Amino acid sequence: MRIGVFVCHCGNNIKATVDVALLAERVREGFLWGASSVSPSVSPSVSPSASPSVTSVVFSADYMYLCAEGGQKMITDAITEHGLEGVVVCACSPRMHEATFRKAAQRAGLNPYKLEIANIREQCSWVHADKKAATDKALSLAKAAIAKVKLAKPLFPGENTVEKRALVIGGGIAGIQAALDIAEAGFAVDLVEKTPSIGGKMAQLDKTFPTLDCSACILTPKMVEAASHENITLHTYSEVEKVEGFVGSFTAVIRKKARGVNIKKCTGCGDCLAACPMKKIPNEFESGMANRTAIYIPFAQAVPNVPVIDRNHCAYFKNGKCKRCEGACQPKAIDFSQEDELIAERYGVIVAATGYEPIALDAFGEYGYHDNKDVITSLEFERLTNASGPTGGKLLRPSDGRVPKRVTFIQCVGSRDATARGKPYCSKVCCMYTAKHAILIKEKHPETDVEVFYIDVRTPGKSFEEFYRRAVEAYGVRYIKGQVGKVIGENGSLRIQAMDMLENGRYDSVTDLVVLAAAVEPSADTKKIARMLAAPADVNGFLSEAHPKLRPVESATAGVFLCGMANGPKDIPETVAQASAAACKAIGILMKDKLVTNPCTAKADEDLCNGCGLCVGVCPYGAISSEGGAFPRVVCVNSALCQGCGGCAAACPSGAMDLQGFSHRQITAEVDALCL
Amino acid sequence: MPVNIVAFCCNWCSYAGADLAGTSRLAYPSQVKIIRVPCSCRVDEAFVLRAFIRGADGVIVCGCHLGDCHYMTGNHHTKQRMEALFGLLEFMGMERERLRLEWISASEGAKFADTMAGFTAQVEKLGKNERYAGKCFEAADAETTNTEATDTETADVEAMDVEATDAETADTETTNTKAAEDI
Ligand SMILES: Cc1cc2nc3c(=O)[nH]c(=O)nc-3n(C[C@H](O)[C@H](O)[C@H](O)COP(=O)(O)OP(=O)(O)OC[C@H]3O[C@@H](n4cnc5c(N)ncnc54)[C@H](O)[C@@H]3O)c2cc1C
Ligand code: SF4
Ligand code: SF4
Repeated sequence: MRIGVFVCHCGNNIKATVDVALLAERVREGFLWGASSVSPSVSPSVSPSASPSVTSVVFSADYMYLCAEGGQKMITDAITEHGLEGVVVCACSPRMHEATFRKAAQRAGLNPYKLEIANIREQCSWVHADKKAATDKALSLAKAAIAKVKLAKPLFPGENTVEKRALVIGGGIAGIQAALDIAEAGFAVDLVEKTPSIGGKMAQLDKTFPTLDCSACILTPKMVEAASHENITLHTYSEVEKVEGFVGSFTAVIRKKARGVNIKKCTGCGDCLAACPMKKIPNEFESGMANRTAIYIPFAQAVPNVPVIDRNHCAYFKNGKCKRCEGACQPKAIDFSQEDELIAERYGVIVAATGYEPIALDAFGEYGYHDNKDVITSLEFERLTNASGPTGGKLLRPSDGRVPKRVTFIQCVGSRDATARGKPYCSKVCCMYTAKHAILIKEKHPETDVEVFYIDVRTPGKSFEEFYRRAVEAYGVRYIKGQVGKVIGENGSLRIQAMDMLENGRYDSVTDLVVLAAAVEPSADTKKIARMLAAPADVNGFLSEAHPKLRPVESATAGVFLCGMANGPKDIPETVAQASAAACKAIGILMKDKLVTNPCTAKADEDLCNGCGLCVGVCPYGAISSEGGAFPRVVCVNSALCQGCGGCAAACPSGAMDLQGFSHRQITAEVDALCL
Repeated sequence: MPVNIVAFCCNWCSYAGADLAGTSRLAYPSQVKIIRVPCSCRVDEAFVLRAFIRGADGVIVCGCHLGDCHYMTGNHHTKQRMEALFGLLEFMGMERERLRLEWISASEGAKFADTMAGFTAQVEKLGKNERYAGKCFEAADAETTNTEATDTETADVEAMDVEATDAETADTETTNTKAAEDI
């Protein structure tokens, strides 16, 4: 077998620590396959033609950038000129460019699976400083790749059809935008939202930085558009319970929770709300600063504008008596007998947009959030200044309804906090929304003194710095660099004890209202959703992108896309941009009729299989069965279902099951090469 | 002689974690050499044993954290298999510390580098793997030749492997004689 080895310099990235010319030369030294005529160090170098029955490296060369056009051409030319039957590329991680090089091989008529990568950048030159050691290791890795490729069989991908329907999980601005873009491209979309209305956190916000346009005014038209779009089906008050399958053909089971109200009959008049006797339930949308009834519409502009009966608080569901709402409802929409409905649907792609929550403040006792009514979170503040909020937009203290004379903002509550109670990351939006809150107060009450405690003020973003400066210069907001140690309730006021780091002294004063910029974290269900989708999440629980720079809206799981806060802290403009990008990637798949499948699937040898069935139990996808095989009990693998984990191959006691592309013999050969 | 370490890393988490260690330039000992497998559950006990008899001084198997497996349940099988393998190593009289199982996610570049440095140090403390290295070549080769017997597609590969087998057998004999002399 005639093998060619190509060594990349990657500019200086590899060349600085690995002697690339020496490597290109030494891969030609025979190890397992004898023949060791080393030609002088000219690259590229071609060895005297080897006898056809012996595997040998007949061509090797090093090159500045193999992934560039010239490098790829060098590979394709060598394949044709030297009749290469196997290629090893010593370069960056296969996660970067395996596909690039395999495509190049294919152009030259070589089966793409006859090309292997030796990762000598991420796993060698970048992590070892000693040139000799790194070169030795690179040689080992190259030899392992050669050993693997010499046993490679040509593989041919299959095809599977694409279900032309998208599932979007989460109906915040991210999910709404992604759904609209996919729907506009002509594909059916199911938008699943857990709560009774779409809108997410943005629906709770008052004005938005840095332009101070009203959040509801820009969001509600989009919510209505999503609800009325002919290609979008809304599933509100619903959750995804189960996801199976793979890109192009996922199957999801959606639980539509019983609303107790017939969506088709309800006119949204709200008569039932007035009739409900259970009036003292904390209103989630108002962050608990107002009450709601047991049958409720979460907020005035909710989409759909249809109430839900909260069964945990409803008198009928608790005690079997009441049904007043039913009496009040003229269109007879109330339906106490409604039950959860499970629907199963097939999808080609899935967009995860499950958003965020502010962290709970139980561990931050020093700020007295649970002890003082006048210590609130920033999200509560959004409701407090909102014209549709509990005070009609008047800035009034929750405790006594007075206008505060002084307001103190504390930033980074739990953000940039590496201790167990906090989050190591920056929540990104707090500096800007705090400046926004300060300006909003000053516009309504110029006489109110506003102070902000900060660690750093971070304003990267279009018009962000200007916005912050306006708060300081035009509105006279006082920014104090330092951390607050304690907030103590004192005769109806709040005493602040802090360190002023610029004055290098203690700060002790009295204020009327304290607003805490609590860190954000992924919404509670993110973990569950990540598992369901087999989509990796990072150490902080945010869904990970397939590549932090080059594939920012894709999950590592093919066909799953990410957007919004579910992927990491970001503001609305970034969320919308990411949602549109995710939609665009999703559309790219939906446009195709067929997708090629990964040919690295398992395959059972009928002659060796003893029918023990151990592999059947191991396969997470139910891909193995004894149906359709040549003999009873002898198994065969459904390659459309097999995802290629290889668990079955390791479980098989009779050596009948093997994984193509990562065969028993190939891995054994790699082990041998590395241990030489 | 420095110790030699074979690391099996699953494509989705640990291999990506190793790449991240690279992009973040977090150094670890160069004796650690990685074999990429789709899932840690692809790692057959035979691969680990093969590495030991070929002279590896330590083998580390890395997968996604339990519950985060790209193939849903793959790493649970890995865990079961490796736990059994620890027992087998002890039974064989080999230090179980030469084998390690770790869960390293794609975002844990630092954990990858630290783990590899820690494991290398641990294996260095044990020294070279002399008890089994090179001892069972005959058995292993017999096994390879068997599998090859069923393989008629690629004549060149076979021819080559026969050649290799011969060379290895010769190798084994010398090792065996040496071992005999030691006794
Ligand atoms: C106090 C505060 C002020 C802010 N002010 C501004 C501002 O002025 N300007 C700005 O640009 N940004 C601002 N932001 C940031 C802004 O809120 C976010 O960027 C934006 O809301 C992110 O949208 P999203 O759709 O990703 O997440 P979310 O708004 O959280 O939406 C996620 C949706 O998914 C749903 N969901 C969760 N789990 C599931 C599940 N399992 N199944 C189905 N659905 C689920 C949720 O119910 C929710 O509807 C502010 C943030 C805060 C905390
Ligand atoms: S039945 Fe339940 S929801 Fe309806 S009015 Fe009574 S308490 Fe309210
Ligand atoms: S490799 Fe085996 S266990 Fe894994 S998905 Fe395919 S058939 Fe199932």
